[in-house]
Parts: sequence; C-alpha cells; structure tokens
Amino acid sequence: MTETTTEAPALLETRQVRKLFPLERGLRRRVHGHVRAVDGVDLVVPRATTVGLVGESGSGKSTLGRLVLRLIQPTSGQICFEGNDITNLHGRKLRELRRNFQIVFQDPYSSFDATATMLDSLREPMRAHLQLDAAQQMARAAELLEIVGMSPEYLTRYPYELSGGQLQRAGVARALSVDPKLLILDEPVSSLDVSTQAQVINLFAHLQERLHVAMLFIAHDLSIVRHVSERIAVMYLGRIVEDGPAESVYDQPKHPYTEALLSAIPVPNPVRQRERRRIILQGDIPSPANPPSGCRFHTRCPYVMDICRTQDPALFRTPDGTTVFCHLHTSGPQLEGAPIGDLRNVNRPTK
Amino acid sequence: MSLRTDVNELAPVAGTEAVPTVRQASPRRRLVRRLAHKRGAVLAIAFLAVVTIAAIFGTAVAPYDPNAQDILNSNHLPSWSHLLGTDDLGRDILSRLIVGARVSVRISLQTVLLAGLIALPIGLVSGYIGGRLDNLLMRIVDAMLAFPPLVLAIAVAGLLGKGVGNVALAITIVMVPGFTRLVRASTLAVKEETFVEASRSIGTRTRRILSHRVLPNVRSPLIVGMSLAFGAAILAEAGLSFLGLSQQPPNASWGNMLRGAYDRSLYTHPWQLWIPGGVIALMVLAYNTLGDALRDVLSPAQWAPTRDRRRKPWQAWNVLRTWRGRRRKTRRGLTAVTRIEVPPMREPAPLLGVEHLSVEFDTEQGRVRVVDDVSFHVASGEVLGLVGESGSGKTVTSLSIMRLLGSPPARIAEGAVYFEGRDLFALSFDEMRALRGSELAMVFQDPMTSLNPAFTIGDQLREALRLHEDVDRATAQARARDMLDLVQIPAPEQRLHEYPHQLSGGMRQRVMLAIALMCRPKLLIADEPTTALDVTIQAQMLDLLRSLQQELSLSVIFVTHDLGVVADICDRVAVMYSGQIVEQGAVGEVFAHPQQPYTEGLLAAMPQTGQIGDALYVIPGQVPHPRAWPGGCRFHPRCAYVLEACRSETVPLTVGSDGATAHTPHDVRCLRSRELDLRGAQ
Amino acid sequence: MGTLIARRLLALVPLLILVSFFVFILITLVPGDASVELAGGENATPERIAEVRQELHLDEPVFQQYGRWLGNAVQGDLGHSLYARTSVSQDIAERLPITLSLVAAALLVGLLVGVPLGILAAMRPAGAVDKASRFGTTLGISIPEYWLAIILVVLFAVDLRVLPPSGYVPFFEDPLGWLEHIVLPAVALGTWSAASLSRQLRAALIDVLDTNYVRTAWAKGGSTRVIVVKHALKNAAIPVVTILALQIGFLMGGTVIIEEIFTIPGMGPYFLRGVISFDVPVIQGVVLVFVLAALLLSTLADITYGFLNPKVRVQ
Repeated sequence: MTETTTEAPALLETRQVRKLFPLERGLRRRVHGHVRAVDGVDLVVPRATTVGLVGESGSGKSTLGRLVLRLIQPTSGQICFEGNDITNLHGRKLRELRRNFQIVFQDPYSSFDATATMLDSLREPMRAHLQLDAAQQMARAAELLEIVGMSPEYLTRYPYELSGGQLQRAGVARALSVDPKLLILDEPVSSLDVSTQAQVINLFAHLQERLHVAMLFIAHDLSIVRHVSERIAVMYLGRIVEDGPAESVYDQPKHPYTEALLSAIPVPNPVRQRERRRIILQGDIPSPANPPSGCRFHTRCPYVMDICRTQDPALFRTPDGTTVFCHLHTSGPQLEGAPIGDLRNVNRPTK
Repeated sequence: MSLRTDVNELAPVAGTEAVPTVRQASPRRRLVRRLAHKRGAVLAIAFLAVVTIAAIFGTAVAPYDPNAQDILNSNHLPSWSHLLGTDDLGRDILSRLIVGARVSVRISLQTVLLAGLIALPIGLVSGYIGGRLDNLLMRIVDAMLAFPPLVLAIAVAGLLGKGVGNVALAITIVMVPGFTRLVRASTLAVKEETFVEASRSIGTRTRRILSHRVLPNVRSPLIVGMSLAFGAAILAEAGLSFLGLSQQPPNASWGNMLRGAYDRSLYTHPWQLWIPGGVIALMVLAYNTLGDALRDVLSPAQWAPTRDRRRKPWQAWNVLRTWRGRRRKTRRGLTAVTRIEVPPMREPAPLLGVEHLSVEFDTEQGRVRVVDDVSFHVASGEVLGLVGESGSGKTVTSLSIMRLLGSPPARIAEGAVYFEGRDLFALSFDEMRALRGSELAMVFQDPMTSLNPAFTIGDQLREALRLHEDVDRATAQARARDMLDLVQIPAPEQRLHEYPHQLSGGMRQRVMLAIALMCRPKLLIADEPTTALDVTIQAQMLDLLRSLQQELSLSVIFVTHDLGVVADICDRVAVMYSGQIVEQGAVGEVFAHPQQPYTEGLLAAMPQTGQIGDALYVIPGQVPHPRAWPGGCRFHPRCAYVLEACRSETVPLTVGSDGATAHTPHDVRCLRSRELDLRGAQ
Repeated sequence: MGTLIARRLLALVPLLILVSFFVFILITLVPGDASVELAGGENATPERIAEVRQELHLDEPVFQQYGRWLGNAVQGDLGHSLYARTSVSQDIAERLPITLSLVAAALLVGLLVGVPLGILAAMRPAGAVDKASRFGTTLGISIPEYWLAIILVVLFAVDLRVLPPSGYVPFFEDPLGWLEHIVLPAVALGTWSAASLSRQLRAALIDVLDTNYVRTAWAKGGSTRVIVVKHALKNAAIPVVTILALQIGFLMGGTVIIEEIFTIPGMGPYFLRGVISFDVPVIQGVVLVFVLAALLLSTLADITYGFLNPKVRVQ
C-alpha cells in the first residue's frame, strides 16, 4: 500500500510548494508581510490511492488542494503530474490537463449554478474534454447519476430541488464524467448531516474500488478520512507535520499535534469518552501571517523543548514509512520513530 | 428474540432513491407567478402597456392634431369634446399628451437599453479579468460617477445642441458608468462563487464561463437596475424638456407642456399644470413599482432558496422563512402563542419542564409544523443533550423556550414551558425580557456573527448586566473583567477595549459564554456552541464548559448534532427526529442500549466508530422536509426494521420502556422497542 | 484612522485629474468648428470667430489647451464669460454659497423626515406606519421635483399666500427672510431625498434586525428600544452613509431646475444661461465646481463611514 515504485513516477507529487499571500498596509499599500498559507510542502499521491489531508483552519489544506489543481499559482516549488512538471502550464495545455484531475467542493449548494439544470452542469466537463454529441452526453450523464446512486430523472432538476447530500453526489458525478485520474475532495462531507455524511463517505470508498481513481481527501478532522484513506498527511500552519500509512497515523501517532487532534475528537461512547486521556492544547492556532519560529507547533506543544523554539525540525523517516517533523525523535527523549504515546511510559519531559 | 443484523450489511452503498413526484416550477415560471401575485406590479405593467401603445400609434389615436391651434377654444376645462381640456393656444391637451408620450417612451427605452448594452460587456470583462484593465476602467467610471448626473446631462445636451436625439445621447452617457459599476460588482460576486471555480477547474474556456455561468447570474441585478433606470430617464428627459433643451415647441413633450403651463397659465389656469406633471409622476411610479417588484422576485433568496440555505445551513427554518419573503408583519423579539389548552406542570416540578410543545411556521405553502409534541425536563445542575440532524427541530425547540423566534412566521401552537413553576408562554414581553439574560441565558452557534461588530467586547458584556441590574459602569466593568477571566481569556483588561473582529473564533465564543454568564443564570441553553470551532479549540471549549458547569452548578441544555459531544458532556440525552423526540434517557443507558433504530443508526454512522478501512453504517435516504413528514412512524421510510404497522400507525412516545433486554428504562418512540435488540455504542 | 483619511484624500488626486480632463473635453462635444459655433453660429463675424479662437487657444493641441486651462484653474482662474466678460471664478464665488445652502437645507429636510420615518417603518414591517410610509415614499421618489415645486408654489404662494413664490434673501441679511424663501425650494428638493433615505434606512435596518447579533441582544434581555436604537441603528447607518454621499450629487443636479423655478440667484440660472448661449468657460467652470463640491462631500461621507465601522477604523 505504501510502496512507491522507483520506476513509475507517482501520479501527483509536490516539491517544496509554497504559496504566500501578500499583506498590504499603509498609505501606499506597502507589502509588509505574507500569509504563509502553504510553506514548503512535499506530498505524494500514488496512483489509485486515497490520501487524507487533515488540518485545522489556517493549516493551508484547501490552498494546497487549489495549488494542485492549478487554480492558483504557487509562489515557488514544483507540482508534477505523472512525472511531468505542470507548474507553469498555461492556456490550452492547462485546460487539457484539467481533464485528469477534478474537484468536489465543500459546499454542495454553491458549487452548482442555480440557473442551470443538473444536466447542464453534468455536461460541462464532457463539453470541454470529450467529443460527444448531445444524446451521448445525456446518456453518459444519466449513467453517472446511477453510479452515484441517483435516478436519471434528476437531470432535469435545478439545484434547489435537491438536498445537500444529493447535490454532493451529483458533484461527484460531475467530477467523474471525464474519467479523471485524480479527485480532489475539499471537505466534501463537512456540510452534510451525519446520516448523509456516511452515504457520501461510503460512495468514495466504493468508487475508489470500482474506478481505481486516486483521491486527495481534505478534511478538518481525522475521523472523517479514516474510513477511506490509505495514507494520511497532517498539516499545521502551512506545513505537513506527519505523513504516513493510515493505521500508523491513527494508532501510533508520531507527532504531538496528531496525537492531540486524535484526542480532541470526542468518541460517541460515554464510558470510553470519560475514561480517555485528553490532551487539551492551550491557546489559539497562531496566525499563518506570523507563524512561530522553530517548530511551528511549539507554542501549543505539551512536550516542548528548548530546541523546538529555535530550530526547524528536520524530516525523520520511521521504519513503517511515516515521515514526521518533530525534534522529539532526534533530541530529548529520542523517540526515533516510536509513537508519541510511548513518552508516557518513559519519563515525561517537563515543560 | 433477537433480530440483530450486521449493521454493515444493511446498506453498504447508498441505493437509488425514489424521486419526489412533486416538482417545483422552473425558475422562469416561478418568477412570472410571483410577479403576477403582486397587485402593484400588475397595475404598473398594465399602465405602462397602455402608455406604450398610445406612444406607438401616436397621432393615429390622438383625437385632434396636437399642434392645431384654436384660439377661440383656449384654456378649456375638460369636457366631452376635449377630454383633458385645451391649453392657452386652444390645442387639445390629450392629443399633445399622447404625442408627448412618444418622446418619453422612446427616450427611456433607447437610453436604458443602449446604456445597458454598452455597460454589460465592459462590466463583465472588467470584473472577471480584473488587473490593470479593470483598474483603468474603474478609474474612468469613478470619475464619471463623480459628476452630479443632471448637471452632466445638461452640459452635454446643451453643448451638443438642443433636440431629442442629443438629449438621448446625453442621458445614455450619464447612465453607462452606473450600469458598468453594477455589472462589474455583480460579476465580482459571482466570480467568487464556487460554481465558477468549478467551471475553471473543469477546464471550461473563459468565454464560455462568462456567457454561460456569469452572465445568467448577473442578469437579475442588471434587470432590476435597468427597470429602476427607466424612471430616472423619464425624469431626466422631462427635466431637460422643461429647461428647453429637448423637444422644441410647438412639438409636444411632457416636459415642455409643463413648462408652457408654468410660464403662461400658473396664475390663471393651474389645472393645466396638473396633467403633464401627473403623467410624468405616474409613469415614473409605474417603473419604480415594477422595479421594486422585480427586485423582490429576483432576489437570490426568493429565486434560488439554496443560496440562503447555504448561508445558514443549520437553520432549516430559515428556508421556511424566506419563502414568504420579507414583506410581512413581524413581531420581533417575542414568539406568539396560539395554544388553546395549557398542559399541566409535571410533579415534582423540575427547574425547566417542556410540556407537549408544538411550533408551527406560516409559509407560502401553508402552515408547517416543525416541532411536534415535544416534552422534556432539565433538573437543577443537570446537562441535557438535545441531539438531532438538521430539520429535526432541535434549534427551534431551544429558541422557543427563550421565545426568540419572530412571529410571524413562527407560532407556538401547543404546549407550555415551565421554568421554576412559571409558564413562560403566559408571560408578557416585559416579563419575558426580565428573565432573558438573567435567569435564562443562551449561547449561539456562530461566534463570528453573534457579537455586534460595532461595539467593544466590554460594552457588550456590561450591557448584559446593566439591562437587568441597576449598577454603575465601574461595577459592570469590573464584573465584565472577572467574567473574561472566568472563561479563561488571557489579558482580559485589554480585551474589554477590543472589537469582535479583533478576536479569533474561539475567543469570541468564550466572550459569548461570558456574556451569557454575566447575570449568573440558572439555565444555559447552548445551541451548537462548538460546531463552528476547530477541533482542538472545540476540545478547549468543552473542557471549559464542563468545569464551569460543575463550578457554578449550572443547568444546561446542550443542542448538538454530534453524539461524541453528548457522550463527553451530557448527563441525559433527548434524540430528535423530524420534530419529535424519539428517544430520551440517561446518556450511558441510551448509548449502550438504544431502543430506537434511528439512535442505533446514528451511533453507527458516526465516523469516529468502526474499524479503519471498513465501510460506515448508512441510514438510507434523506432527512424528510417538515412539509413532507411521512405518516405513521416518521422514520419508517429509512428504517431497517420496518413493519406494516410502522407505516400506518401513529407511534406514541412510550415513557419508561425497558426494551428487549430490560435495562434501566427510558422513553422511546418505536412500535418494536420490546422485541428489537439494537446495537449500542462500540 | 489618520491613514484612512490620508488614503481617501490621496485617492482624490488621480480622480481630480481625470475629472478635470472630462470637464475640459466637454468643449469637443460642440458640433462642427467650435470657434464658429461659440462665436454665435451663422451670424458670427470673422473677427469674433478669431477672437474666440484666440481667447480659448483653440488652435493649440488639446492637451496643451487642457494644461493651460488646468494651470489657470488650479490658481482659481476659470477664464471669462464669452459674453458678459465677467470673471467666471468671481461669478461662481458669489453664487456657490447660495446653492450650497439650498443643498444643505434640502438634505436637512431629507434627514429630519427620512431617518425617523425609516426607523418607524422598520420597527414593525408591514405594520400601519410601514404601509403608509411605503406609499408615501414610493410617491416621493417618483414625483419630479420641479413639478412638486410648482405645486407648492400654487398651493402656498398663489392660493394660500403664506410664502413668497420666488426670490432669495441672504441668510446674514435677514435670517427669517432667508428661511421664508428657502422653505419651499428645500421641501421640493428634499422630498425625494427624504423618501429615498427612509427606504434605504428601512431596508438596512430590516437586514440588520435579522442578524445573529441582534438575536444575541434579544437573548440578553434587550428591549425593543435598545435593540433598534443601539444595536441596529449604528450598523444600519454604515450603508446609509454611502447612500447619503450619492444623494449629494443628485441634490446638486436638482438645484439647477429648482433655482430656475424659484428664481434663486445661485449656480443654476447662471449655468443655464451659459448652456443656452454656448458660453464654454461658464459651463466648464460651473461643472468643475459642482464636481469638486460633490467629490469633497462624498469623501467626507467615506471618512464618516470609516469612522462608524470599527473594522475599518481599528486594525
């Protein structure tokens, strides 16, 4: 699941991608700083694999999704698709490339034009990329709706006649209409109800199995992506802090932030929830316009050491294929790839 | 007997659903229908049609030659031969009015349509492409808009030379920048919409995005703007005519008729002043009425309810409200009560007892019940979780207790709420006001919009106290500071002087909590207080709420959709579905041994549960709309254990049901609770 | 806040240059040979044509003409009237205060009537007050102000004879006389302003009354008065101030006709004489001064907007 073959390049790879949004101030709108939305990210999405990308607000996860889609231009770094650098593609070449990756948005209501029927919306990607006549487009649109579990009768409906869950499924159908190789799912279930949420999450798992499409599943908490992801990357303030196989990230988190994120999600079982050891992170998430020095998590980290305040942690690769950026693995207790949970068994460093 | 089925086998993938048979009309049909409902708009259209027809046929329908003088019959009052009388030269006023309409109608159509046609492409391209071109164009537009419109029109028309054609040109020039700005602003707004981003990511050409995505959505505001501009064009032309710059005598226009009457008949025959002026006013009135009606009909909330729903997706009743539009008499700040019977208080009296509460909304499609016969209680020092998905009625229930829903559309149709033995639904506005914020307090979901942006944190905290207690500013300030300290806001002294926009979401929600606690309430209603927060901030907030609740021995109603949060903080839980309570009891009991299939499904569908990589349990179908609650058990179309009886029989809430396995009993609404052995929390 | 004011004032500079250029090129609208037309058209004598051409420097390239004109204008010299030979700057200086006082009086009528009406209407949407005010304000924005002016003259000056039908008395000579003469024009001009202001304020208030923070205020136990006057009005005032800035331009345009009807010796009649007789320096001068005044007043409104809105004021 985690092997990245050396011969075939990964489907998608970002190399030190960075996106800074300038901040202007004063009379002459002088640029006095930058929101470091995405700040040097290496991410790999292998073929036909689902990667979960998790982070809170300000982590830059959605910006990263838009960078990958080339909806916004990176400040620096490289984006490669099937080994080809696509960072600077423009015009017709970029439009043609877009057939390969499609996106499903967070808000199902605003991702459809309220003045267009579902057929019109579903046809749009086909019109841009496939040579089909009107009847073929219609037939394909109907087929797509059935794939996502909806009746073709919905083709003549307007978005306001559909519920959120239905619209989201139609959004998936639209994305699939041109057989993309990669689906970017930008918090696709966070505006849905619990019962509908499960339907859509299962749909993704089902599609992955059937269509072998790769997915980048962006979410704000770890519970959503656990049922579909093979790999999980956790972002904090514009950087990936931990990236590894799903089981490893869930069961043996290597970064204190991952551990805290997991602990923060309440379990719907009163007995277990009240027994769990809770890690309450202190303070607010710092602004990405003014990120802390050294390790960006040091202001809230329960295990903070002196070195964290000044030095950026280097990449550490654990035996199970997880990459983690944390000083705990190399200095202080020197976990060397062991999960953070082990700290409690050893002597816990004092603040 | 056990009917336990492996939950994961039930519905691994969402199956094809039945399509609702009732269709909503197409946008255009709905638009026409809504417009036809507006009496003013229909009258205006009729009037405009008559004037336009008269203008088109002009001299053919005029009873006399409009320029034929008849000095012997001058200054006549209306009579059968001259329906509107004659002017000082004996010309028939009606005939002159009809040919004058030609000028007004022509000018208004020509200028507005031409200006719209010029402005549309400029505004679209400028707004969508942006950059330097946009910058330059907008500078020019700004400069042109700086001119007082009439002054510019007079100068341009005057310099071009007198005449109707030149006046039309002048008015067009004055209108173009305004329309351009309107189109550009709408384009910018549409450009930010996700569906345009979707089209870009799909790889659709810019030209097609502009023509098929942006244009249809920019059309509505432009149509409204143009319909209001027709009136302005008529006013401007008549004004220029009045000043002698447009239609030249003896040819008639409404403006020069007014001028003629003013110059020659002001003291002698004031009647003649009323006709041309009145017609101008009526014409402008008609256009304005039509424009107003179009604005109502074309506003996004009316036209595409999804947009409004999107803004507040958690408030299903918001959709209900917008259907009826804004123009309704609303009693703000106190929900109306129309119950006939007053249910008795339960014994022994708890701190808060909700008895058989039903709430209804008046909508365009008739009366809709959104909360149906809900009863629960909160004991002193207890935390009750009110759980449900959107449309379950949990938020409406909590707002009804505070009587915060506006009436209409909301109405309390049945039931009572007893707080410390007092029936809240029997209280007057002032009595209710005295309770709100002092004994009963509320925290809302969205911290970003729930604080007033125009006042400092300190002001809003002090106000909460001073509305109820006669204290001076310094005392209130000291209490405010203490409260910020209590909710663990760092540097409280400094925060008091800050505005909400200077605080993060988590901090704002702490401030909301501080406001709610200012008067030491007995009951706190927290409506999804952590939903809008980040996960780690939610954990902080829950921690704070738990410790404050214990410290102050607060009673809390915690409204949420997250069973994890309920498991974390609540003592008892009431699960709501389609306006009803379907199960309630102690949290441990309900979670471990649910007796209602919906509760079972909800627990199993939580993404926190189950094994990694396994499919989630799925409740098939959608949450039904309050207008379309199914008969029988409301959950039956989605239920895996449905029997024939579930479809037809009304299911009562069984109080103290001990279920199939005879654990501690709790309340359940299910015909099969005694036979089903459902799976609880994992 | 200081930055805000400075930025607004600085933004005026390019705008002023553009605006003044537009004012100047108004002359190019004159059909045919401008110098012939301005010298009196067909009846123009060759000497007169040469004189006009010389005076307006019409032989020079447009940008050079513009530069010269702007240079003079900045020093307060707007040239001379082609006919009366008087200094345009001086003429305007005498008339501008009269026009501005009329605008101020009309705006006062607008605020005094429009604001309370808007608040009352918003407090009970679709209530009796709201219905009546909606009828009145719809009428108010539809009636041409010049017709209203005439009707007022007929009623109060011709029939009732309580107010003078026309004329003007400077405020400092006879305040009471000024008031007598300004009432009818101000009402005629201010009615539209009041109607439109009240509609805008009503709409803004109703929007604000639907917000979450107003719901918070109800939940705190606020009374209707506290909610509307404190919480809602301050927020609703923010969009309304922008409307007010727009209104100033409309009111200035309105003064031209109103002054003509009431024979008030302001900018209006002066401007109209200029327009009728193709007196280009007069037209340019008046339009320039009107734009400048409108721009300054709307910048003031912009700054007020910033002052009312903490998001702009406190960063």
